[in-house]
Amino acid sequence: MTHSKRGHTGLAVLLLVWGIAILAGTFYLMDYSGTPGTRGDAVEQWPTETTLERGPNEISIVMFVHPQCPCTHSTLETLNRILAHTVADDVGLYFVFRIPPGRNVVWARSSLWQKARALPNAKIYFDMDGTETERFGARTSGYIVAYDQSGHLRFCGGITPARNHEGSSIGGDALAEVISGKCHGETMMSAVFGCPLFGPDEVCHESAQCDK
Amino acid sequence: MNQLNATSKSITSQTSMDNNLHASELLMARADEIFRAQRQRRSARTDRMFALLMACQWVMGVLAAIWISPRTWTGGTSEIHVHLIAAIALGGALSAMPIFLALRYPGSVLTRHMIAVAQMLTSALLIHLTGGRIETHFHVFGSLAFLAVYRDWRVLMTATAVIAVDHLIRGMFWPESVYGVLTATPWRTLEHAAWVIFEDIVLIHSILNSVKEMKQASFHTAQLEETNERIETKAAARAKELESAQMQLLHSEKLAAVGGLAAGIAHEINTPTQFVGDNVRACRDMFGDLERMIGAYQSSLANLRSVGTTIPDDEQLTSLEAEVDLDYIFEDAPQAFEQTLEGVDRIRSIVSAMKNFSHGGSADQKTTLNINEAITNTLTVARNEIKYVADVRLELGEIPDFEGYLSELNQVFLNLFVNAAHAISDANPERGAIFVQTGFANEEIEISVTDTGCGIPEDVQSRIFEPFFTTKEVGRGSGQGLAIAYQIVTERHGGSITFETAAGRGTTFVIKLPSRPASENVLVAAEANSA
Repeated sequence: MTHSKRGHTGLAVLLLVWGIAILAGTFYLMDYSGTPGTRGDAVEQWPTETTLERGPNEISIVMFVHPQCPCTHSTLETLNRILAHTVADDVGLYFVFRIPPGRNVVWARSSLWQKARALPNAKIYFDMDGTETERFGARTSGYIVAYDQSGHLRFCGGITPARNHEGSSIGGDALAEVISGKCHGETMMSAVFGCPLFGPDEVCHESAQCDK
Repeated sequence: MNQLNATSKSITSQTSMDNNLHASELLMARADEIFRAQRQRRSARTDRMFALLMACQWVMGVLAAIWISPRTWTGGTSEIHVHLIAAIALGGALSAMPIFLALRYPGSVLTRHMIAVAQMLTSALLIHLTGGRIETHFHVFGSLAFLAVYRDWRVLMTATAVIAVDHLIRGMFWPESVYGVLTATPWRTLEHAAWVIFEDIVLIHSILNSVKEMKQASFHTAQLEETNERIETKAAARAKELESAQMQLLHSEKLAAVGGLAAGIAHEINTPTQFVGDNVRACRDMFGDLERMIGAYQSSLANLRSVGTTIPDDEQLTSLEAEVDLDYIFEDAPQAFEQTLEGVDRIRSIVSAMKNFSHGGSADQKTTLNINEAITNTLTVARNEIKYVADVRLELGEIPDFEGYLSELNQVFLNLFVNAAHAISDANPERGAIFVQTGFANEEIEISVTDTGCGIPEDVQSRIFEPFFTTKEVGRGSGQGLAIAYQIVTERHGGSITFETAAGRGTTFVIKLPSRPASENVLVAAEANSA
């Protein structure tokens, strides 16, 4: 085999290995983006024991946020877009920033917090011990629950099509329907993409319906 | 003859056409060579540009990942975000291969197509990482515009194919990754592809125009090179001609100086030769008288002896007579006188020939001359070169007087005779022969000089009239003789000089001189051209 032929073979092998590596990396990335977090089980009726002050006769939207989760930015952007494009009379918007043990409110006042408080009529709660988060069955950042005027659960899940992906999705469309009052049937659910709100060593509150 | 001329013209015309065709092919080939070299340089330069661009893209991607999503969180703990790892590893892998190819194989076809593939995959990765943001799709359009710098439409095709396949597959299986939605119809992919194709059409049109301009520029460069080369060749030829003219001038001046010197010497020799001849002739006559007188004395002495007259010192006279050998003197002395006079006459004729040769009229003005006399005089001058190697046979016909430059024609004849002598000495260990013939026919004086020398080799026959061309050893020939002869015969006298040669058997040079004046010939030629 000549030097040139050896060179060509080596280059072909190199290109093949490169192509396989690129494909493998791409598939891994796709898999990561498309793998949803744990959704948890939401409560069917607005919990009376919650500290979230719900207004009368309103559609309540509660979003649970990990203060540092980068994927939740896309959820906030998507929610912002849905709210902007949906005609609604009375919508209560609640953000529950779940603060893990050992962290404080200062740590929780992240860019996500700034983005959330910029939304009109948003009420922000810092959930220091995770009680509220557990109460609503939230497990993943970006998880949203929507209750109708009678306090009945209409939607639970995420509103992005994939991890860190903005754009239209089943969850987003469902939430828009709930907000615009078009949804009167069964509770709609969707996959949620984001960071886990609880660490592996944290124990769920007994009152919450944890999905382990 | 006319048919021969027509055939010759036809061949010349065909040869000229062939030459033009060949020159045109050479020009096109050179233009193509320049174009390819230019495109190769451009491709290599663009490869390096992309190597830099891809490295920058990679660094920017990593920085963006660090800025946007450095860590992912699980409750209170965090770890490096997959996007950052992807930016470093996947982005690095995507950039590394084209950078390697651009540095290792700059300008190769494989490199630019791999760069196109990698650039489009980078676009795909960016689109994915931004969740199919429509703004990120502009990276595709920007990349296509950058790839157009290669001025190779095939590269755009490769890039388009990669991005189309990427959109098609991801649109089918992960539409959220490319369009930011969970469901997408194939029309969405077609819509994206259509925009890319639209840009491709514009870019390909621009590339084809650009390539056309590059080809035109290459052709003009090739033309310019050819013109420069032609000018340089012409300038070199002119320089050579100038050098030749200078050499000829120097030669002429040297000849003129030698001629003047020879004429002076001839004059100086002529005068003593004259009185030596006259005195020898007088001595011969006086010796005749003396011989007669001595004869009379001897006769008287014999008469006196016969009658017994005592002659005083008779014995001494008889002894002296025997001693001086009067009979031998009377027999040999007249021959000595005759030989001396013959030698003096030869000196006179040589001196006269030298005078005629060296002072053969003005260099600027034609004179009426006799070619036969010029040949005879030149042969006399060249006798020393010829006499040891060849016998000369002259057959000089009846020819009219000729208007020409005598000294220049003498130079031509001298060159031919000396060349003939050299050719004979090179070829024959024994003596050869030089046959000189003159004649007049068809209004032309024809002079032929034939030698029995070595002949002219075929490979140098076309060059013998070139200035400074010689096959003789250094110091024996300057390479100017035949060139000067050609110039004198053709340009100065409107004649022609040709030769026939046979290897090992000899050469014949034939000079034809128009019998009418050269200026008249030029006029006739001008009239023929205008007709």
